[in-house]
This record gives sequence, structure tokens and C-alpha cells, in this order.
Amino acid sequence: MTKQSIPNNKKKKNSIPKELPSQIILEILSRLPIKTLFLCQLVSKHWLSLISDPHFVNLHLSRSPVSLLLKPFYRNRRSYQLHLVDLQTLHKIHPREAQLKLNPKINFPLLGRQIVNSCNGLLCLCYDDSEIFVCNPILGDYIVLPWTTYDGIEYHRTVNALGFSPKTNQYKVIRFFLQRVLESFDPFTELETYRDEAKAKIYTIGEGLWRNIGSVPYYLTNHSFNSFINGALHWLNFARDSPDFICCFDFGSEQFRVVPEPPEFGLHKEFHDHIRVGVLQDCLSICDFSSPLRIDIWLMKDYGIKESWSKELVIENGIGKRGHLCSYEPIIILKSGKVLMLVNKDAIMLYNPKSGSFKMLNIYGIKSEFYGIAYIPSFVSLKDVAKGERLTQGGVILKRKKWVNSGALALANGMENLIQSLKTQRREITVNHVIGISKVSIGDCVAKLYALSGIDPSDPLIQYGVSLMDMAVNREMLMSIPTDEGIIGWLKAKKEHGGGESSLAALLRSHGLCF
Amino acid sequence: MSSSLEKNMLILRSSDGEEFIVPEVVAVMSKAIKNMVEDECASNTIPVPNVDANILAMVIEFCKKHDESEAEAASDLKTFDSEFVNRGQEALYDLITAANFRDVKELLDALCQNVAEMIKGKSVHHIRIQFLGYQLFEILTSNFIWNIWCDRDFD
Repeated sequence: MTKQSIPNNKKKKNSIPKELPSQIILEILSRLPIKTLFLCQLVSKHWLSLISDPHFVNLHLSRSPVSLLLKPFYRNRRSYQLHLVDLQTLHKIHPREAQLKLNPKINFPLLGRQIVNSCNGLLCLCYDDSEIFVCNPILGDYIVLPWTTYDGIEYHRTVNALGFSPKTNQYKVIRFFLQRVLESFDPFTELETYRDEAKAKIYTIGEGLWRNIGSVPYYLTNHSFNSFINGALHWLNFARDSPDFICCFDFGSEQFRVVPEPPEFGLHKEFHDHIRVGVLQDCLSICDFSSPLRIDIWLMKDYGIKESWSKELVIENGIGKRGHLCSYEPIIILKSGKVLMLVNKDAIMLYNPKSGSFKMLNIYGIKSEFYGIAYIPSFVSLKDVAKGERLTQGGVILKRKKWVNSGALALANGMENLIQSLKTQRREITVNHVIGISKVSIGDCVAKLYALSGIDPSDPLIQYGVSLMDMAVNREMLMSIPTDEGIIGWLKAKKEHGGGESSLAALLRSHGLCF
Repeated sequence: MSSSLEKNMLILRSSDGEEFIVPEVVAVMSKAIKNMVEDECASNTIPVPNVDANILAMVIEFCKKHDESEAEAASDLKTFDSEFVNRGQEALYDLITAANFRDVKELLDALCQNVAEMIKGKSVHHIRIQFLGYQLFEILTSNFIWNIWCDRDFD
């Protein structure tokens, strides 16, 4: 009585009484941060299936805010961990709550130590310029791209980049091969001038082979924090004798393009490391910190139109201390107007335009320098994307935590453990099936016992037989003996020898039974 | 009745028979009503089944505010939204159903955002209580434990 009344009370007070339609649940779930979604996967089977639905994946991706994925530089046993930091809440809550740790073997391949870039929640990793991995660290699955070289020649340097073609819904990896070529040699001064020649190959995930693009007009030198917009990856071209400044590679048409630069911008081109291109508020942006005490942030409001460049923000205070030695990359403009900046790729500062002050943000558990890239967490599954490639799913081994963090993280970890243990459980079951211990229910066996011909159901032998049926081996034995006489003989033998385990068949044969 | 109304006014009738006189601009924020008006399949009185007077009044209040304040600052509207959706669960559920059924995108967005904020930081147990009801939760757990139990080898 009391047992029933408690849940009823709770239900009346707290629950939404009727079930919401799936579409609404999708709308709600797609607005949740990744950590809460991990918990929501556990709520019910229905929710779990909703979260892995491709429709949800797209909806979530369109709303998922950009996060920071960073890799600490310190060396210890955890140094291969990646940290995913939720930037929306970083300045509001305890830094520990705002981050999610991603482990090698479970979330991404162990060998993929260098982060290349990310696109739509997929992460491109590489190992010593030779192996390229594409993985989704949230789901923990990854593929290895086939090894490639250009015409079998050793190249000076290679640069990779992952991108997405929205029209064809394909993910592609472009690989630049750079070769240093002697341009001129002055015999008197022995002065040599070199220029870089670049060739490229492209790989479409799902097709399984590298295609040659040939010589390319521009080549990627270094990745910006986040410069993928309108289906194209953007970078700045500092090559001499080239008038083009902002270049991009369109992953849809596989063409290189030039994007117009801000009108009054020509002066700063010589400062290589003091200009960054990026994406802010869904616009292409340029951050110029070439003058020592000032940072200009430009936004291109209408993509591709030169006149739409506007100076969004000028920061003049508070940068004196570290001065022009720093590189500043604006990451995100928060709703309050504050700007999060990645400084030197190793610190996060929050700039408040109203007070004109910088504030250093702490990232829990990272004391050393780190390298950070923009990452949009998503549930885009390589299962749906990759067809020709062999998909590897996240490792099963999960260490038991010695200490438990509070709150959501603990639950998220618990959920991971649970799912992993379920996975292993299922695996064990399939193994059992292969070996052959098929499950025979007690009911079937007892029914068979009572239906035996040539023996009365009230016989004590039957009672004894029933008492044996709690063991799976006996049940299987009973079901595998084809004739009734055989079963009775087996039961008698079993009773005489007190249920001896050894070589029952031999025992039966010694009693002159054949079956 | 209809002749006394101005041309750009519509009457919405809730499921329990109450009538609301609303400017057409406000009413067509609901896509379902907009379609009806465009197809001219509605006379001046539009029945809104499944939505009672209480909830309909709330929806109209929301639409009016959004219609008026289109020119106003967006931040102002945001504070209104967050206050508007801050209601009890019952009302919230009814509002969501109404917004979904009548296809009022802005309201649905605000409501879903609010529910999402409610979920954030909650445990699985709490989410289950809130969205599935306690009893269903019990069934799920018992099923879950039963499955593990059954999959064990008893020897």
C-alpha cells in the first residue's frame, strides 16, 4: 500500500503526465550539451534510439556550439588525454564541470597523437606524417586512411586537412606535398633562393582511394583555430609575389579560391605571424595584432563581398604586459558580448569590452602549456560516412576509477562504464553460443521427464531427475539423449553414482545401453 | 458578428468554447492558422481544438509581445521569453503541445530551450521521473536487471 502511494505522489508533483511526441523530444535534446546527452542516452531505449538517429545528429550539429579541444604538453601517463572544454559555460561554473576527458584507445586511436583539425565533430589525427586517422572521439570510432605518397617521391613536408562538402554530404581529406625547389643560384655571392612547390591529393571518405589534384596554386601552411565556413577551409597566404591574401579550398568543388580582404588592409601583409583568419558569429573574421598595443577584429558579414568587411572590435587596453610577442585568436563571442581568446595557443582569456579588461580563465587539471583547436562535438557517426574503410570502434577496456568526481562527470563516467560492461557482456554471450552451451529451460526438461514412456510419473527416479534439472549440463544431457530408455538408464546410472561428473557416456555404455 | 469586426481581425475559438479576438498579424504567427487563412478555408472564426482557453490566452500573449517588439531590442525580448516560459510543468506541457500543434516556431523554440535548461545538471533518475513518469522507470530498471540476470550462466 505504502509502496504504491509514494511513486504516485511523486508522479503528480513532478512529472509531465503525458508522453511528448518524438519530434519535440528531438528539439529539446538537440539543445543540450554533450555531457547531458550522455546521461540522456541512459534515460530510456527510446531516447537512446532518438540520439543515434541521423535526423537528430544533423539537428544537434546545427545547434552545437563550438568548443575547445586541447592537448596538454606535459609528460606523464595521462599526457595523451585530450580535454574537451565547453566554452559556453566555462566562465560560469567550476572549470572541472565544464570539461570532458577523452582517452586514447577509448575515444580516439592511440597512435593519433598529432591533432590536424576537425570538422563537424570528426577529428583528423596523424602520426609522424605517415598515418592519417579520422575519428569521432565522442562515439569512439575511427578509420585509418590508406598510406599515400605523390609519385613515390620523398617530399619535404606534408600538410593535411579534413573538410566537409555539404552538397554531396561527403567528408574529404586533402594532403599537400611540399617540395623545396631551387629557383636561382648566384655564382658570385653563392646566394640560393628557393621556392615551395606544392602538389595535392584528395581522399573522399567512403570511396577508398586518393585522387591526384596535381600542382596547386596555394598551399596550406598552418591551421588557424577555426576557419571552416561555407564548405571551405580558409588560410592566409604569405607567399612572396602573390597578391592573394586570403585563400580557401572548397571541399565541394575541389577548387581553390581567393576571398577578398578588408579594403584598407594592404599594409599588414608583411607581418606573418600576427594575423589570423577564423570564424566568429558565423562570419569569416580576421584578427590583426600586428601593431604592438592594439588588436583589430574584422568580420565579413556577407561572405565573399569585399564591402561587407567591418571592424567589429578594437582592443587597446590590457595587452601591454605580454605585448606583441603573443598571438591572439578570438574563439567565440559570447551572448553577453564578451570575447574568449586563445592566447599563444596555450591560455584562454576572457575579454570584456565594457570594462576593457582581460581575465585569465583556468582550465581544470591542466597546468602546463597546451595546444588547442576548435571542435564542435557531434554524434556524426563514421559508420554512416565510411563505406570502403574498415571501421574500428572504441576499445572496451575501461579502468575502474579510484576516485569519483562529483556531479555530472561521475554519472557520465558511470554511464561509460555501464555501456562498456554491457558491450563486454553481450560479447560473452555470443561466445557461449558459438561453443554450444545452448540454453534449455527447466520447464521443457521437466515436461520431457514427465512424458517419458515406460516409467510411472510417481516413480522416485522422476523426482530425482527433476532435482537434477537445476544444472545446465544435466538439462542439456537430458535433451540430447534421443530415446526414453536412454534417459531412464542415464537417470539410474546418475542415481547410483551419486551424480558423478566423469564420462557419463562411458558409464552408460558399461550398463549395456546404446543410443 | 463578423461584420462588426475590423477586416484584419480574427476570432479564435478555444476547445472549451471561449472566443478571442486577435489581429490577423498576430494569429498568423501560427503557421497552421496562416495556412488556413491563406487557403481561405476559414471564416472569421477559427476553431482551435485541443487547446483550452487558459493556454490559448498564454499563446496569444506571447505572439502579441513578439509582434509588437519586432523593432525592439532583442535582449528585451529574450528576458520576456525566459520569464514567459518559466511556468509549472503542467502548463509547460500544454504550451508545448499547443505550440507544436499550431506550429508557432518562436514559442516552440523558447519552450524547448527552457526544458533543455531544466534537464541540464539533472541526474538520469531525475530526467526519468520528469519525462517518463516514475512507474515506467521502475519497469525499465526491473527489465534491465532481469535481462542481466537471465543472461547469466547459472553454473
